[in-house]
Amino acid sequence: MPGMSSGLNANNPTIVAAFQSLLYHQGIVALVVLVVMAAAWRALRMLELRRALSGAPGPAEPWPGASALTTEAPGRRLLRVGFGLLWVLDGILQAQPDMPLGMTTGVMQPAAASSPTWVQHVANAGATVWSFHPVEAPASAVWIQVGIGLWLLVATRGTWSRLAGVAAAIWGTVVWVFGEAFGGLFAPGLSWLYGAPGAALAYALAGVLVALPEEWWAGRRLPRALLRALGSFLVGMALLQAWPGRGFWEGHLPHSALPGSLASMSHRMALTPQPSVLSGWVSAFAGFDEAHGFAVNFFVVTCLALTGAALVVGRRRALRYAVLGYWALSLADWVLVQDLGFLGGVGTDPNSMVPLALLVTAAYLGVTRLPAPGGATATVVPLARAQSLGARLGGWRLALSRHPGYFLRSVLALGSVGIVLLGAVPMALASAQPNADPIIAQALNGVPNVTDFPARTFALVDQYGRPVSLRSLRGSTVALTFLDPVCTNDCPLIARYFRQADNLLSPALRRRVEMVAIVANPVYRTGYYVREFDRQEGMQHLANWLYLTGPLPALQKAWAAYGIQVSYEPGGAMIGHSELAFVIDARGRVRSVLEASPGSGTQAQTSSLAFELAGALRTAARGH
Amino acid sequence: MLAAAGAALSIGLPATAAAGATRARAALSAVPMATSLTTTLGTWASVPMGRLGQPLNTFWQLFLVPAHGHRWADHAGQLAVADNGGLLMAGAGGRSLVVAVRPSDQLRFSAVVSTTDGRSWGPVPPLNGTVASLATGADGSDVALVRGPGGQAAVLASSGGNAWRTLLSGTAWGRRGAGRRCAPEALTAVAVLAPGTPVVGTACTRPGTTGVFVAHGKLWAPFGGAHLGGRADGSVVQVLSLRAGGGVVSALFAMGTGRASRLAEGWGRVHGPWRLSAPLAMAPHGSLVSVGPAPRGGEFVLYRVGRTGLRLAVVDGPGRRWRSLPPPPAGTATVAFPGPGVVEALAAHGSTMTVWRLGGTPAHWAPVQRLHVDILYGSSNLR
Repeated sequence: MPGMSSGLNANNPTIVAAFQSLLYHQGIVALVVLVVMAAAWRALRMLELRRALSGAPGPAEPWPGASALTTEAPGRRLLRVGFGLLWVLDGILQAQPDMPLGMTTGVMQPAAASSPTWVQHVANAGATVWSFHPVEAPASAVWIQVGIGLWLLVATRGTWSRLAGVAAAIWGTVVWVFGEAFGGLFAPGLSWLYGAPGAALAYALAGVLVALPEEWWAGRRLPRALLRALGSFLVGMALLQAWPGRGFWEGHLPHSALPGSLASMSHRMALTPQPSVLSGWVSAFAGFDEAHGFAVNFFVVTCLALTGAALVVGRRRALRYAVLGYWALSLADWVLVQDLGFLGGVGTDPNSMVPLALLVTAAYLGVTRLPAPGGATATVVPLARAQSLGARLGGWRLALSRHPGYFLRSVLALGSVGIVLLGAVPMALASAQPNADPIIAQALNGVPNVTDFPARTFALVDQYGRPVSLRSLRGSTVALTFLDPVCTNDCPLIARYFRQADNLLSPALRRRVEMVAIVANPVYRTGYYVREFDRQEGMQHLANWLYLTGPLPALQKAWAAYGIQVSYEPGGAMIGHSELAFVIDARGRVRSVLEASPGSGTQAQTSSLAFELAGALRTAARGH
Repeated sequence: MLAAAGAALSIGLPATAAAGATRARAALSAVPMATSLTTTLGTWASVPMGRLGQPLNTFWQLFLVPAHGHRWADHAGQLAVADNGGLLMAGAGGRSLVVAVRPSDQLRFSAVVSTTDGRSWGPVPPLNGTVASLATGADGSDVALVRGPGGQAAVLASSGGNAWRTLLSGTAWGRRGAGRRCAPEALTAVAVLAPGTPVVGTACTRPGTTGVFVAHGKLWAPFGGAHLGGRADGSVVQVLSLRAGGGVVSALFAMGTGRASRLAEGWGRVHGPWRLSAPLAMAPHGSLVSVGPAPRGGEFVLYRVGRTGLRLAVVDGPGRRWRSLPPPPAGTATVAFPGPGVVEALAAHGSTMTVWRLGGTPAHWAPVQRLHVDILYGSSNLR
């Protein structure tokens, strides 16, 4: 999965600092948005009150359909508030400092690792956006999720509320597909215990349910259909859990000292960073499952099957016990198997147990408790239902004067949309940008040194034996580095990002740029070796690529001129040499010096280094 | 002339399905690269050291004990290339030694380097792919068996520092003409019989045939007697290694599978039958640790029986039996014969190499030198 990693340590200080700085600045913007909204609400309200005191005519008529209002259905309210809080919590979790660099390797990669190749390709596309933009993407996720959560919480009814559901459904689906690799649905080892079908799918489903017309919640049809669907799902999960040969019935795998699937999972979870009390519980459960694997699985299968059956049948008395039992089982699994889900530095959400239990409970409430008729709590003003501009104005003025709380929520909903956009817009822009952010290169090698001193000349031959000196390159902007043709790791990667940087230049600029490498090996410096290296890396296809070599004294002179240390290393190691890149302008002056270490050669690093080098070349070319 | 064997065929591993009752096919495997050979400069040995379970922290060392010296010294640092992929040596009995460094990690071609004094090394043109066998002639011409990126094997030759040219590619040529009797399924080893006369060893699919071919211009003819007759006992024969010198080619043959796995050394001339040693029976699950030349044109075989038990056998000439020497110490990667009557075992543990010498009565191994090698762990890993 090539796009899955930026190749940097999760606690890289440059990235973490940039991430926190961006969050801080975006947080100020979010605060300003909310303050402006509140101030607007306050100003409009004062205006309306002043108008009322002055005896001016009030709104012509109340909003249409006001008499038909009902209170919000309890099931819908539970979904809206419950998932609103979860989204806010998830947004806050996204702000953890390990998220920028740990998300792909700690969350996305494990989720996709055992899935089919096509799923990995899909997940890799999302992970590439994240790893190429390790500051913007996680910061965007923070604001999108916090914004959706606030939106769900403050927009209680009407179009604003339904739109919040739509936003939650869309983002939940995005997270489910790219972040959770379809919740592992296509991977072996799928189990309700481990989080199938993926927490984000529950978030998306809840969003869809909130987005449905509110009238649908006034009857029992929708909640009953939801109960049946959830019940069928649980019965299916029970069957899957009972399927022999998947390692759930055994505490230990047959003919092996290895623990069974569930015990193994709990053992792994116990190793993640967490309070010792919790890890003690998880370890104890793992040990219990090792000793009583069959009994544990029998209990789980039975509970899932009975709960599922009760939900499908839908008898009220049985439903109550089923829901209570489901909550108990979910809490046990959440603590003892899923380990709460959000610990360890890269926990993105509380996993699937709480969201699924919320869905089950919302459906139960929908069946058992219908919304009360309106009047007593008529706090709803569906602004968008107004038929005309006059009516709409009358609607909001009426709302402002008689229902300031609702109006405030609508204004805050608008502010929440602003917070979502605060994340969504940079995320969309980042997704459209094919090159990785230069900050990855800076996190790896530091900021390029901007310089202005004359470049020392050299006199060597290129890969075809033609003499080349720095003087002969005068008039061109030169990217110069030093490569060992038999180097087994860094040099091929440096050549790759030089080639990628060349491709980032416009054709016109490319004609005025020379990409130059000088051999950095005292032994393998013949034309055969530089050409073999070129062939290996496809460099022969670059019209402006020069790989220079020559007699050892000439090479040593060039190395010394640019401060390149080349040394034999003991014990079968490769030649050691400095990894620097020099950008020399058309007048022969060194305009910047870049550390050229390619890191671990991930796509993100190569792209970022190429982007940085191309930028330095453009700057040097412009400076002439 | 000497030619060190590279990747070839192993024995004693579970057999694949045989085509007939009398036809057994030995399993293909890699012959270990650790070996030793002697030039006029001294005796060289290639030994893997470091963390052998981690390919990029396994570093191959190139040890030399001078012809009139007693102390081994490491020369791997002079190769100026990371050698995690392994080393193959070839010497022609004179002063020169040619070493091919197999690629690893991001490198896709083999670096080749030679020396005549053990101190300064000059590059030989690189080989595109992984060198499986390497040989050099007295005239300085080199022959290599290379497996390309697609797994296709080819025999290439170079002389005078010129680029390698392909002599033979694949095994399709063996389905017609002189190759039909053997019907080779793989190229396994190379040697240089005389200037401009390479020899190639193969794995035959037809039982009882030797599968050694010598170049006549652009044609390849069977070398020596193509048939081993009853000596092959109806099993297919695979060439593990080839060496050549003085008009004689010696080959290490593997025959049989399972409990019938055995090795035999053969000596042959262009026009004459192969003269075989007595067979060396291999345990059903035995595996080769090192093979290489022994004094007087002989061959040594270091092999493992079970998980830890090492065995060392040496054969001196045609018709002779394999002599079993006392089991070498644990960790022995190869053995060397640096002087008349001297047998030394090179045992590596991490970055320490211990040289054991066989002597005394009764013969036993005693440590004579301990070397610490500076190994730069992690130097071949990407950050």
